[in-house]
Amino acid sequence: MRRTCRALSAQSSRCDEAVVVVAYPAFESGEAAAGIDQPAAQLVAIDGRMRETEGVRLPPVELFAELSARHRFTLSADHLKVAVNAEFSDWSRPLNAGDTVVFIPPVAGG
Amino acid sequence: MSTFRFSHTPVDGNQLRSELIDTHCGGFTAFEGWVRDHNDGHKVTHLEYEAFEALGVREGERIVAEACEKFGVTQALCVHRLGDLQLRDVAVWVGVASAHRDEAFKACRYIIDEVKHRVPIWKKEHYVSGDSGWVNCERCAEHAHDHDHAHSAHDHSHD
Repeated sequence: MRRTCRALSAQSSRCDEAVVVVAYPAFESGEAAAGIDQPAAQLVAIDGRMRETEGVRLPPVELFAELSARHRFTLSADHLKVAVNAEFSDWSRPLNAGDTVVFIPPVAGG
Repeated sequence: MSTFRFSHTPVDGNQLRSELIDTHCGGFTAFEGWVRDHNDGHKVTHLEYEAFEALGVREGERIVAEACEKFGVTQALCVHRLGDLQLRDVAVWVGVASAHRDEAFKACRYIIDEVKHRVPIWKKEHYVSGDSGWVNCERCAEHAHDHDHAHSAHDHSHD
């Protein structure tokens, strides 16, 4: 999670209030898939408080759809699991400010 | 000491084995996963492993606990390497000690199989050709039509 804070500080001065989205390797964008080598993880900060004041209780499934449209992820949600605050989570769980959301592509340990 | 750990330095099986020695145990078995020089028809030069460590340790510990309960073994430990690995390096080590051999073999097999499918670890292979790629992700895209769309039932296995 070290990467999270470093990348986030570059993008948002309100670290405590953000929903942090950590995208692991398989989220390389369309450009990367075409052969440009990118850092292993891409990080995107979403301001959770702003969404709450707008009355939006954004579950991971909607968050993913939004991010995917913006960043052209190469995997669809069908291939992923989601973790909120380092625990596997349901896709429809509402997110709160300060939550860390990680979309987990197919694993390949061993 | 945790029953599932990540290591950023080379894995020493002999040292890990010493953590499991127990006078109640009459059998010990270990599995080592090594970096091999080929995969899917490509010649591999070296690997990188990356993990979501916070979740990975929790899930790994859960797997080891399941194995201990399911097979009644006394001691079990799994260590997965992260970072840059060369050919012949130990990528993953599983050790199980128990009263008798049968449950040790079964628990060891259970742990390595579950770790490969459930712990958030990713492997990037580097090839002789100069190319590289995250293992499984491409297969995942190729086999998209085979997937069940229910998230809760989704299995990350690609064996």
